[in-house]
Amino acid sequence: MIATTPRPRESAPSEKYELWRPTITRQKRAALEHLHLEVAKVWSHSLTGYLPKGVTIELDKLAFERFSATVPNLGPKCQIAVFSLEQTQVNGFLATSEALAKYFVTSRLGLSQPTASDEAEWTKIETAIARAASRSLLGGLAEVYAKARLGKIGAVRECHDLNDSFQFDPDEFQIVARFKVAGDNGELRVLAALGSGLINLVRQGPRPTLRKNRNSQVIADVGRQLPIDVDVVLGSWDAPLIELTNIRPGDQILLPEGEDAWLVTRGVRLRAAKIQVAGNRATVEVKGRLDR
Amino acid sequence: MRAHAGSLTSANVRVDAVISRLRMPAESLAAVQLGDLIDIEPEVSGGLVLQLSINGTTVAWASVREADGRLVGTIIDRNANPKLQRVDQWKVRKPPRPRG
Repeated sequence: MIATTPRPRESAPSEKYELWRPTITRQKRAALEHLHLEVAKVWSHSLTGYLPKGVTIELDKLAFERFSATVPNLGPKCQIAVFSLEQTQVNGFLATSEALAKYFVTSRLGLSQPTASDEAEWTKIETAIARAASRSLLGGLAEVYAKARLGKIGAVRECHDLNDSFQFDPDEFQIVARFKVAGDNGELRVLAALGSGLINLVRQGPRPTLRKNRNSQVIADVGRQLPIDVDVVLGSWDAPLIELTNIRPGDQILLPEGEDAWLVTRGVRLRAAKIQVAGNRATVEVKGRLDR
Repeated sequence: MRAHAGSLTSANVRVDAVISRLRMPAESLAAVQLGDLIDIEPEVSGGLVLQLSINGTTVAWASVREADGRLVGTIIDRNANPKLQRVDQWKVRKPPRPRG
């Protein structure tokens, strides 16, 4: 028998339990990640004028932080836009680092290297380019949020210091999405932060994508060949029930001319049509969708 | 009771004149476009049979003929007759494209 002495447990550094920290489910987190991956994609497409050819923006990290811990130190020339999601209580901000703002400016002006006037004040043109890039970023964010039905971004204010915005409580928890220029591990960063209320606005997980495999192809092929019974209707009219109950073989009925005919399946009208009957045959001319 | 029966029989119902029933694969039906022509021919000889239908239920069958430029139906049966419940043949034609 081997005697063992219990090893002292390596205790993890204790963290203060934050009672007011909102909880987030795995599905919601995945939905938020998906949403901001989409933002990065939209930015990469819409900011081609501000990025060198082939350069994209990517989501670096999604975190849940207190505002006081998030307040970014992105340089004096960073571009910050504070905004609200209309008809919600959710406020947020979008911050572009000074380095990225410079990067946008130099790319836009067709310069390969940062300008010599890095430390100097920006010219009016440079300032305007940096602002336009920041607005494009905000536009991309607004587009994705609107598509995800999170609401419309409004009440936009541009500022240089977030603490001066008086819009955020230092203890407020925020969802913080950090983006970077692909391949860069330096200062080329954008940060989108929104109040935790965003969690409740996100309604669904990432949109399921149909994985194409052999089975789904087989199902699709079968679906395409499913037989559907289609009735070709010459027209219709209202008749008293008694007239129909008294109908007898040999009775003659004047029929609709087929000018306003239609195709119907299981009570659902599919297409308007015009029908011409000639002897034992009929020809249906498809006229288009029906006005319902 | 008589009053009820009277009001029922005098009630109006909507009658659809179904000139043909086709069985099309979903793919072919989805591909039908504006202006397409569908030629219909009965599978068996004897001509087209028209169904008088109320909410999808056939209440009578009629043969169809043209008289003085109008279509006239002659009732041939009122009961559910399996011989008359048939599906016609069909073929979709694309309209000829205008030249030039």
